[in-house]
Amino acid sequence: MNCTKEFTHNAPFVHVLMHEITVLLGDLALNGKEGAIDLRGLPLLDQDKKQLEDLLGRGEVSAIVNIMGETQIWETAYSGVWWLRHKDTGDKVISDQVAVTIIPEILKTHKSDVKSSLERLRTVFKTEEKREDGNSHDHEQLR
Amino acid sequence: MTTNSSGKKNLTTGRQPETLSDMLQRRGVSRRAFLKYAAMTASLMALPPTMANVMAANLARARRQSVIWLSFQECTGCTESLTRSMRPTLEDLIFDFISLDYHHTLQAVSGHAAEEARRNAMKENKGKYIVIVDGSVPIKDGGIYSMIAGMTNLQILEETVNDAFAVVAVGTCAAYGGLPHADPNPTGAVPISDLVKDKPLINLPGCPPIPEVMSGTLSYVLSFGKIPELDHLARPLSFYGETIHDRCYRRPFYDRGLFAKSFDDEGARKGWCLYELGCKGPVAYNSCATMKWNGGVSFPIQSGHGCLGCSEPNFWDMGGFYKPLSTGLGNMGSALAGAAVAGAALGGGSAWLARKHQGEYMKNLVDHEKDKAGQNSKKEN
Amino acid sequence: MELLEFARGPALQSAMVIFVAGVLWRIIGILALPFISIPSRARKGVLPEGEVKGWFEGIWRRMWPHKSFIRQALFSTINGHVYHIGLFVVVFLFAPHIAFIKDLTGLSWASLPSNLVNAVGVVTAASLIAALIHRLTNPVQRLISTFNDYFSWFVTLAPVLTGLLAVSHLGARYETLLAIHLLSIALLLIWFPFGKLMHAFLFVVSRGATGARMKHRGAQI
Repeated sequence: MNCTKEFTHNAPFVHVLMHEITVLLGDLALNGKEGAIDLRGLPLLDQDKKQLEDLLGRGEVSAIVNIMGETQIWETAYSGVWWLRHKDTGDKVISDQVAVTIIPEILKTHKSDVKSSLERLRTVFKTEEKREDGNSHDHEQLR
Repeated sequence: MTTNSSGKKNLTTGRQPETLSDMLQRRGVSRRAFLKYAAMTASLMALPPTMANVMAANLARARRQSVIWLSFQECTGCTESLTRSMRPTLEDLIFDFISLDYHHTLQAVSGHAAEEARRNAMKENKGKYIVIVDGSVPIKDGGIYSMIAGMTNLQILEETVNDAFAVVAVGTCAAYGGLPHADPNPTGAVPISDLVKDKPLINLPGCPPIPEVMSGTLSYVLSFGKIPELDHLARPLSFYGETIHDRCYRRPFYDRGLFAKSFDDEGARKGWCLYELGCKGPVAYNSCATMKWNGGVSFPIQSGHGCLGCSEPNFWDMGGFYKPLSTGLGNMGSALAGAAVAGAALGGGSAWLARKHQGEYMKNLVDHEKDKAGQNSKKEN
Repeated sequence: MELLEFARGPALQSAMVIFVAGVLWRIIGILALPFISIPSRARKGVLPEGEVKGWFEGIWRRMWPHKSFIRQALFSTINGHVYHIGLFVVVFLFAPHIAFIKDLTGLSWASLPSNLVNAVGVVTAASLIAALIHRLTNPVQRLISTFNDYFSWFVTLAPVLTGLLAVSHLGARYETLLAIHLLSIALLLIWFPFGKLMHAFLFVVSRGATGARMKHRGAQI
């Protein structure tokens, strides 16, 4: 994790953002309070965003979520600081977020999804069983 | 977009309609879709990013929202804006979240069946449905200038709004009267806000409004069950809180005093500020400069034309699209010429009076001196 | 938006009509008066051309006080120059103002960067406020000041302040600030011909005539 890069003085906004991330991470460490920064509404230039991305670096975890376009998620070199990049189906970035959290909500499986997948799995399993039952029956008949 | 069939089923079975979460799961889409959609909408509306989780949870629990779309004196541009923006994107989820129960242009049925669908939706979702209106309502001569199914627009509006939860006036015509309301307003067109007084009303002006503004506002109402914060013209502050000028990428040129003087000069080619070519950006509150159009491709100023200020009341009567904001309205030439003539006449007249007065005074003075001289000579004599 | 429409429309139009009519009334009213000839014979060597020269000298020399008054008049002279030049820059070299004049007359010229004009505007406003303080604290000036002086000062400062607020979006929405700015200009234009602001046109006549007469008598201008 080679992550300590110097702030360059020509991007004051990036400096401010790094400061805010530090404050949010402190809050997470001390109080367990989660935070996030939405980069869309900020007057950032593309190179500012790139600089912030480079400064935060890449950590151990990265993931891709496929819902109506790709969502790229990676933990930055600073544990607890995540980058969420939502894209649309045209592969255009629609939102960039820095989330300060233990794990981004979107990576967790929701309870209701667990329930519905259990139902689905049971259905599949049942049909599979039925099919296998049917097969053995055929066998017996053949014999 | 067809009329809602599940609604009818509910009436007969008496079952609660399924939640949006159930609906997506049925299609094999996980809850993460809500999170992504909510993250995007929260970002558009400048809500704190942490609100996205709350919004996603609320959306998942919400049931399909019945929407009745009324089109009055309009050009269908607002509907075009909303539907032509369609790529298979996240924004389209809003069409899954709502049940569009009545919409002239989009619904499959017509005639009595269409009106039937509207009345059914009103009955089944009493007090809960949202009425979207595009177009102004003519009220002159009993409102005969625009009628649907034998009813004036005013009658349909009053009937439909009566049991609605909220009303959304989409487009400049519905929000402020729009083009039909333009001077001399031959049909007596009025905005929805003049007619709907006792229901929550949101104005989403624009000619047309930005599709994401429409879908974002509906998502907000759907997930929070209330109306977003509005400005004095009933526009959501998150979309209409700042001027085009404040968010314009050409703003630095304004600050440096670099202006295009015509549409094909060097300044125009270099992308300088369009203020002198009549840009209304400084008084137009809208999100075009940040959200842009056609999926974020561009917006009028980026394409080289000044802002018309279409999200503001009476934008066509603001003295012409190509007149700079700092100029007076109307032609001053003849009035000023008249004033000059009047002023000159007044000046000449007062000078003439002064000359006359001075002449008389001098004459009196001379006469007086003569008299005095005469008296003196008499005395001497 | 209705307020802005009123300001850009009827308010500004009627103010300009009053301004043009009033200014012409006063200028022509003065220039068409009978010329009072000076009965005395001109000083030796002063030809009619000399009197014309005196006219211009009179205008020029009064831009700066005579050395015997310099100590008393230094502040008000320098401060006066600051806000007069400032007003010129703000009124005639700000792009939106040039757009206004171009729309009215068809004439236009190069503008200065908006930020620079803003800075000049701030200096001008400060200088105008200093002028008022000087007027109030100097016993002689205070004694000879009338409503005309104070009101003329007010209608001059108001457009500068409201313009600065409009440009920096302070206090209200831009369209409201712009409307107030235009209304303050309407007030200035209406007051202009009838108050002391008329000196903008008449200083040429008064200083010139004084200069010419002094030259005629052979006095130092």
